[in-house]
Parts: sequence; structure tokens; C-alpha cells
Amino acid sequence: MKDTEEIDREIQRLKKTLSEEKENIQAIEELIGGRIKVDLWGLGEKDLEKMTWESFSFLERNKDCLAPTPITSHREYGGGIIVAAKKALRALTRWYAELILRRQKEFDGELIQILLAMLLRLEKMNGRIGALEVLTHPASPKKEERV
Amino acid sequence: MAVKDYAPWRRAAEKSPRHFLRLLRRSLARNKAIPQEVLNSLALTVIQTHPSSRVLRFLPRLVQTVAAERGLQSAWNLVASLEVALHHRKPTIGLYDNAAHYIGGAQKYGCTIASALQDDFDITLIANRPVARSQLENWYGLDLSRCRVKVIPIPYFEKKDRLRELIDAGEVDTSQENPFHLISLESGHYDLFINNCMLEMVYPLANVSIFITHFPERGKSRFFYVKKYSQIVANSLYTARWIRQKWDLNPHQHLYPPVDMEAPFVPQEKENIILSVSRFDPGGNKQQLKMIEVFQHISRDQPEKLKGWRLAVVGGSIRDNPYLGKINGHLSRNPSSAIELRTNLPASDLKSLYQKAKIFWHFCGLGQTDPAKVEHFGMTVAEAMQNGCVPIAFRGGGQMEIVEDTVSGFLFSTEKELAEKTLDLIGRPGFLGEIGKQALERGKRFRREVFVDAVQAYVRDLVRAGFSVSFES
Repeated sequence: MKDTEEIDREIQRLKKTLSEEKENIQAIEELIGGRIKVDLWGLGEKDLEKMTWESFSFLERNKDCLAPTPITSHREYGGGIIVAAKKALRALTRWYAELILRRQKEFDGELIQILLAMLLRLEKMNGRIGALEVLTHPASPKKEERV
Repeated sequence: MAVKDYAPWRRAAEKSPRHFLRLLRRSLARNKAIPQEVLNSLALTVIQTHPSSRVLRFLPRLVQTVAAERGLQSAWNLVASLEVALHHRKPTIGLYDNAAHYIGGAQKYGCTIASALQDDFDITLIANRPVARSQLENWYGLDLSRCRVKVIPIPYFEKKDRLRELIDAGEVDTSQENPFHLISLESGHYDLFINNCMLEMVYPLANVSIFITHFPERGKSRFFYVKKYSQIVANSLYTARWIRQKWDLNPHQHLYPPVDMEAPFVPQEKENIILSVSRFDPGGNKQQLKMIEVFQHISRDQPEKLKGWRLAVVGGSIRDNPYLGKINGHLSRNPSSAIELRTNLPASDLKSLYQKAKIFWHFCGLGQTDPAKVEHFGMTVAEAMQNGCVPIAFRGGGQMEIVEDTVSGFLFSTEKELAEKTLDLIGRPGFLGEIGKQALERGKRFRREVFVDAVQAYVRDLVRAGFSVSFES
């Protein structure tokens, strides 16, 4: 026979705990456990620029693929042993991971550097185009975004 | 949800909670997406299939795994869906409207939905400026006694201009933080979230979410989250077409607005009145001035045919309306005893005019190139038809869905066509009466009861699919 009351109580308890934790979070991305993906097609110039820099800063923050990540276990019992085992395994294989990922890290760093250079060049070119537009069409109205 | 795609999951859920958890963890670790409704349904399967001792061990682990891998909101939604599915409580609905404090057709649409669903759901009407439930009930003649109102001010707009009545999302600077994230956070407290103000900047967090579009006003921005909603509802096929064109999204459902101007009886003998009912839009969008000019032009050209007929131009207006001033200026320069201009008429007087009038003119959209300025639906056209008043409306927008040309009314593209059709009708009273009867029948299609039935069936189906809940019919 199923003890539905006990299940109901457990559901209530879990919801209460989650609600309390949720109350302390004000960022949507933290609540959904990931970044909000934006569909770039159809965005205006201003929005695209903002998005570009936001994505760039995300890449910049996460460029180190060798940065340590916390080791955890979801298990109720024996979690400590699993964590210890994972730590040991990671320590043992670190030399091999580094062997492969060091090159990846250098590659990513260089890629980010190139991206930054391209973005800065684009900004400078935009500035120059703007200045040229003022010179060639001084009274031209701003282009409206059309769908 | 294509159930067959998740058959191995269901088998795992039926076999053992541990097996299911292992499969879930493995998939989440490989970034394999599993829709929230599928996850909710599988968790319910585990609860219903296995003994309570195993379920009690399984539940906290499941919640912990989901919270760690998909975020707290997903875990909360999972638990909330179990509460609903196991009948611990009624499903909750948060219905958001940033203009709830303002009388309007879209707001009436939202409140009618709330009124229709309040017996099956716990409903909270979310507003940004203070508004009382009794106010809403009076404005729209609805019973909202089982709904509550929650006001969440948006600091961005409170600081900006407290005196301005409307919260215009078009003013949001998208290079800054999204001011509507407060509403997004609020949406995560309900089982079903309904965005009734087509505010694309609200990110839905609820298990099921509905985005109601009266017209896609703005283009895409970096705060464009319409795609995140479970369902997109359009108020007409015209709006649906523009959602596809402007946002590249396919609406799931279209629900015509509720129109409740039906007369208890239609008098046998109507009067020779051509009626126009539209808000006196300060920008002149509804084109009442053009209408007056056309009427005067026909009267001059065909005085015999229009003898005994008058034009009643009726509508709501704000104080110091520049467009109304322009109309008054025109009428004082070109006076006509056959033209009657009336603003902010009480509902009873308006109803009486609808009952008396034989013909209804509607110009909104004539000569327009901007699709937003064409009638998205055309409530007053449907109101006229519910009173057996023959509509002659501009051939465009939602009006084309209401009026079946030459069957229950007429459509026109040019002023010349309007004049011809009007004079033809006036010259054939028998035909006018016949079309009036057809209009009356057609008008019933847009009654409030029809809307209420459609909303109830639609939302119940959605909730049934999302939460495995049954409703008493």
C-alpha cells in the first residue's frame, strides 16, 4: 500500500526548500542554469553590438580550459568517497589532460585575441564610416530599421 | 510532445527509479535536452509505479540532479507539476498586463480569459500600476471575484515618468538591463503564465506559458523572448500573418476577441442612420474626418438618394484631442445638419444607436501603408453586426475575417467603391434588410460565450497535456 501522505509531505518539503533558495536569486540565467540564447537574426545594429561584447566577455572569462572545476557528488550516501576517488583520478590524469589541453588553451587565447582585434577594428571602421557619412550627406536622416 | 521519442525513458521510469535517474544524469551530462513537460510526466510515472519507500528515496535525488544540471527553476517547476498532477492544489495562473490599469480592448480580452478560467485555476492578475479588481469588473462587466490582483511596479518606468499613464516598452534602452526581468521572475511562481500585453521582453519561467499577441508592434531586440513561450496566440488571422512576417514565428492558436454588444432584440424598423463607432485617435488613425468628407461629398452629388439619412460619428476621446479639434473645425466651416458628432457616449446610448442604425461605416486602414495602423481585428464592426447593422468596412486587416463581402456586409478599397456600395444599399431597402439579417447571424460568431468556450477548451487541453490533470466538464 502506498503511503501517499508521506509522498505529499516530501513534495511540500522539497517545494518549500526550492522556494526559499529561489527567493535569493534575482538573475534569470542563474535560475535557468545557463545563458539565455539570443537569436541574432533580425537584431538591430545597436543590439548586435551589445550582444557581441557580452559574448566576447563571456569567452574572455571562460577561455582557460585548464581552470579547475569543483568536484561534487549528488549521492546521499557515499558521496565523500566518490568525491575523494574523483579527486585522485583527476590528480593522476592531470599530466595527460594538460598535455592535450595546453595547446587548446593557447589556441583559445590566440583566437580571443584575434576576435578582440577584429572587434576593435570594426569599431574604428564604423567611426570612420560615420564621419564620412556626415561629410557626404550632412542632412541625411537616420536610417530606420525596417522589417 | 512526441511520446515515442521518450519511450526508453518511460521504460526506465517504469523499471526502477534508480535506472531512470542514471539515464537522466547521463543525458544531462551529455547536454541532451529533455523537455520540461516530459521530465514532469516521467517523474509522475515513477511516483505512480513504485512503492513509497523507493519514491521517497528517489524524489530528493531527482530534484537535486535537476537543480544542479538545469537550474533551480526547472526543479521548482517539476515539484509544482507533481503537486498539480497529484491534486494537492488547483493549477495557478499569472496573467500579466502592463496596461491593466487602463481601459482597453486588449485588457478586456485578458480579463475575460481570467473570468472564464477562475473556477478551474487560482488566478493572479499581474499589473504594473495600481488597479482594483472592482474597477476591472466595472469596466468590462465581468465577474472576477475569484481572481486576485498583484501590482509589481517597474522602477525603470517609475523613475522615468510616473505621471504618464502607459508603460511603453518601446522606450526601453536595450543596451541597458532589461527592466521587465522583475516580471520574468514573477512568472516563475505560477504553473501557467499568460503574457496578455505582447511584451516580448518578459522571459517565461512557468511550466506552461502563453504569449497573446494583439499585433507584433516591435521588431526583435536582444530582449526578444517570444520563442520561449509554449504557445503563441493571435487575436486574428491578420495578426497571425504579421507574427510570421515580422518575427518569423508560427502562432499556435487564434482566438477572436469577445464582442458583447448583442441587442436583446433588433427593431423591425430601423432608422436611416449611417453609424461609425471608433475611438477618436489623436493621430487620426480611424479617419473620422475622411468619413465626414465622403458623406458630405455623396450628399452633394446625390442629394435625392441620401435624403433623410444622417451620419452619426461616435467614439471615445481624451480631453483636448487635437484630432477632434480638427473635425470640429471642419464642421464649423462646412456645417451639415445630417452629421452628428458624439464623444464618450454612455454604453446604453451606444447600444441604442447600434440598434437603430441601418449601415455601419469603418474606414480604419484606408490609405495606410503601415500594417500596425490597419485594424488588427475590428471590434466595433462585429458590434454593429450583432445589432443587424450592415457593415461597409475597409478591405484590410481583421475586418476581412469578420465581414463576408456581399454576404454579411461589404468591403471597400476606395472611397468611390464605398459611395457606390452605400448608395446601392440605400436604394434597395429589401436587400439591406436581408444583409442585415446575415450580419446579425455572423455577429454571433464573435459572442463572449464563444470566446469563453474556446478559451476554456484550449487552456484545459494545455494544462491536461502539461500536468496530466483532469477537469470536471
